[in-house]
Amino acid sequence: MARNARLGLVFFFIYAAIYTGFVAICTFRYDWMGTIVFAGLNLAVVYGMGLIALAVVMAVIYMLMCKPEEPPSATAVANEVGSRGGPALSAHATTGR
Amino acid sequence: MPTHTSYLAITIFLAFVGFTLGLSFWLGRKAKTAGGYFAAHGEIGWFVNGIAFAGDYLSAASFLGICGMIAFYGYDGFLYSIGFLAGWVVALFVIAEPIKRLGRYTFADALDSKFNSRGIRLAAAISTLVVSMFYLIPQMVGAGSLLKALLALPAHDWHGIDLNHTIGVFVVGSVVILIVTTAGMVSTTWVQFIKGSMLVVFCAVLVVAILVRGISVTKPTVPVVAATSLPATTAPAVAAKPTSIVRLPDGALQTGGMSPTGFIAAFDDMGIASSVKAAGKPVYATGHVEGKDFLMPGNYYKGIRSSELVKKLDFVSLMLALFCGTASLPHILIRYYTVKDAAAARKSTVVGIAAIGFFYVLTLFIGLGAMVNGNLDPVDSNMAAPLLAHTFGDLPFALITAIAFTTVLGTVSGLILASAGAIAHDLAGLIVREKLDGVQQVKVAKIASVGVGLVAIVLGVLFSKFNVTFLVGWAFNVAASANLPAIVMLLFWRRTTKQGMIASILVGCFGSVGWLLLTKEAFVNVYGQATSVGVMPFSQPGIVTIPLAFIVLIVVSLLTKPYSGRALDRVTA
Repeated sequence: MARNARLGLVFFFIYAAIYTGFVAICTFRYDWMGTIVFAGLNLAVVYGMGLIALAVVMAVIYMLMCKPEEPPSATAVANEVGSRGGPALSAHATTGR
Repeated sequence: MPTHTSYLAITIFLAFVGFTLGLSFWLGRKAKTAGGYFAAHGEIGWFVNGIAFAGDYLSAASFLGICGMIAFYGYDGFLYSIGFLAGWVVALFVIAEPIKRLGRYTFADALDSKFNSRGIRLAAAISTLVVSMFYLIPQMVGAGSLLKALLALPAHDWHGIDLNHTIGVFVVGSVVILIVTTAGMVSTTWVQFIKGSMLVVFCAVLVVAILVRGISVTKPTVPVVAATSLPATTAPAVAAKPTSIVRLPDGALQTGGMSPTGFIAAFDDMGIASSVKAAGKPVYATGHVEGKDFLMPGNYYKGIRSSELVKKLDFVSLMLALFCGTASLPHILIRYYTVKDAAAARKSTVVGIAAIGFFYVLTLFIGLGAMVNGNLDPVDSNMAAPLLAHTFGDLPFALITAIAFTTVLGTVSGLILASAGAIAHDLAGLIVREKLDGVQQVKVAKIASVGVGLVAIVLGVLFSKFNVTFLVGWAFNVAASANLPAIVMLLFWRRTTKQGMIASILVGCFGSVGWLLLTKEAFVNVYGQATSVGVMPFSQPGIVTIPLAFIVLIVVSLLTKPYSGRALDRVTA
């Protein structure tokens, strides 16, 4: 698996865990959401706003950490598949972009 | 509701729509080839594409529906904002780059890149049409509500159908058909870019105006009675229709200008007078709701506060569908084909997430602002934001209504384009059994756009009684059930077979649609049945149908012959 894809999965699982925590509290301990945690704001607002902010921050960090990668062209892949006697790729893949 | 027709509002509204149409025609002149019509030749810059992502995604549901749901039901509306944005995490971290590499014009291109299977192309095209149609319905419903409020015509009903709302649905349907048939992805992108920019900027201005005005204790327009004196059957709806503020912190009568945190913190000690539903109809008797309760989950999704697990599943299922749905929406996925490479796809997604995230923060303030200002239509939650703008005057109302209408135009254009692409690029070739050239595909797409638009108009009239965000939640359930398992397993499980993918898409698609059509909400609001019981135990099917589609894919793949090629491994490496 490519480096960017691995990095993406790590970020995905981190965010998914925090999102799951939010859903779990709402579902099983919804009264906790009324606790005032910051500047007069309850946990529901802080956690919800935090999830939105976290998505933006993680997206920016991910973009900065990703390395430019040059994938093999669709044409090269199609040629390889054809030479192996495998199924030809659909027309769009062979025409490239 | 506005009680008179504002010609200033209508003039500004027509100017906005005229500008949008003019721009669309001008930019659409060159869209003669399939590459130009469906994917803007892959030449859109990443920043413009990112804002266009926001313009495409921030639909009537995000603006009208979420703000309305927050105004009527408090924090539960904000749950949609959280879930809608969280879905972009899946899109960026898991889907964006591979989808860009594998496809060309449509979502089916990507799914079919490994197997070159007519069955996959057919299943993906059907799924695209079904999901897009479910997403189109709320846009049409929202447009109908907007024009109804803008024109402020006397009520006209025909066999239970609101004719003023129907006129609005027909107008937006006609305008969008005109845009898509005369233009294509280039003009759709710029319409979405302009609309996305204006929506975020004007909503930010509206929030500043809300904070500067602050909150005042208002005299209810109807008698205030204690909630405890109401019949038990009406009690659950007490929190549903807020009309005015009866108590502020420290006994103040008004707050003056407020900070963003101060505005929300004021709800901790606020009393709210609310209207209730009696015998299924809104009436203006009022009870009291505490502000701190209004900012807690469970006012709409009451199962959250239930001790029964099955009732909680409705909420869990919704949040799962929102998380998984964004990366499965065909009209969002096709926007990855309008930029030149995977890096640009990644950057444009980040720009989109930033713009969309900022907007969703604003929705909480707009929704709560609409509630504390009390200018709500008790029978139409979708009008909360425009009616809030109306409390600042005719001009803000006209601007917000025009932007909201342009919002609908931008999203509907993208949806019809995705549907037309599925028909012209994926289905037509299967039906005539030969590959259509680019010009033929564009011709078929334009004819298909008219058909899809007409169907959307009819459905927009039939579903007019729903909150648009609730309907979009359904679209996310269908998209996540039909498309996500196939996309994810194609990328990450080499044992996936074409039979497994076809079975998964069809089971996820029709399983979730079948579930939705048998819910209590469908019986009451679509079939007109006076029942409080649906066949299905809860309204959001995702928690059942998403895992089901994964299981079907795995089981069918294990039972069928594995794929022997290695093309995908190289493409995704």
